[in-house]
Amino acid sequence: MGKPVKSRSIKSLCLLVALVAAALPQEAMAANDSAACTVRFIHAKHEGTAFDPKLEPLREQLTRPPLSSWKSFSLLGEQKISLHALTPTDFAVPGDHQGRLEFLGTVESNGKQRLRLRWQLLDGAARLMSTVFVIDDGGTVLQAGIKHEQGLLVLGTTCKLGS
Amino acid sequence: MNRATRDQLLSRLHDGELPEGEAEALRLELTDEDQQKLHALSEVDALLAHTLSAEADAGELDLWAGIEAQLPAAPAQNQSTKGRILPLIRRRTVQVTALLSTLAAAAGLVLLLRPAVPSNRCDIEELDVAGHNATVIAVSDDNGHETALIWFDHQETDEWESL
Repeated sequence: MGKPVKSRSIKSLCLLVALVAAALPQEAMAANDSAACTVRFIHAKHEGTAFDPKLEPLREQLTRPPLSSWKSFSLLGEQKISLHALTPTDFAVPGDHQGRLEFLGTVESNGKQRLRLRWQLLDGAARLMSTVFVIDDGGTVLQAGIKHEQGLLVLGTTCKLGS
Repeated sequence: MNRATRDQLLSRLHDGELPEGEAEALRLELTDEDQQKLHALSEVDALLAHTLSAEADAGELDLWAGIEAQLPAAPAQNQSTKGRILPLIRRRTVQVTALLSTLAAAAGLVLLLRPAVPSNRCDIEELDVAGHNATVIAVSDDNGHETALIWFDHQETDEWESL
């Protein structure tokens, strides 16, 4: 009677290994199927010298040319967005604009997964800007050019894999 | 030649201490009495050799005991110092190794837990703007990390066009 028990144990072990093996790729795929992004809306002005402490991670980028022409920076707001592959997500942008962010998938580079994203800035039906870019996991890209209340609107987008 | 001198010559002949020529000359003039004395000397030699061998075989020859007895007593302090030096070196080696390992682990931890620096190695694949100009600028920080800045000219509302 000991033999069937042993056989059952081996079968259970094999089943467990198979389940784990099947689960691992799904987990990896799930992680590569989504991205978490934070879009910061930054108001840059020529007046004043205030620098919003919440923008400290971007201080070096905001205080160097060409953005160093603006002297004060404040965070108007930020959007935290969970993206699923190939599903565009819209969000409001100061100045009655609309942002649309889409996670297009990952690109492997030197053994690391990078994010491929489409970023669109809309004004109603008009597209003010549309770009597709690839960044490192956790990377940031800045966009600027829209005038906003006697100043400039700067958009800082940081994305990482997983949601 | 008196007897004492004659006996000394015989003894030196027996021991092989005479020069070859002198020994040969002496052998030619040996008398019966001289021959008997030489024979007696040989017997005494054999007897002595046998007796010493028997004594050596009878007891274990402990050379170290004799040498050790004649050595000056080593100061106890020297032994304790000698005993301490090697462990001290070993302790230092272990301490240095542990210190280096700790530093390496700390450096790894710092690299792992350091705040995310906004850097992206951004690759722009597509860029369309509803304006006249668009520029991609790499903004470097103090560490040489670059962040991409997409700059596009702001257009007045009536200048926008649907892309």
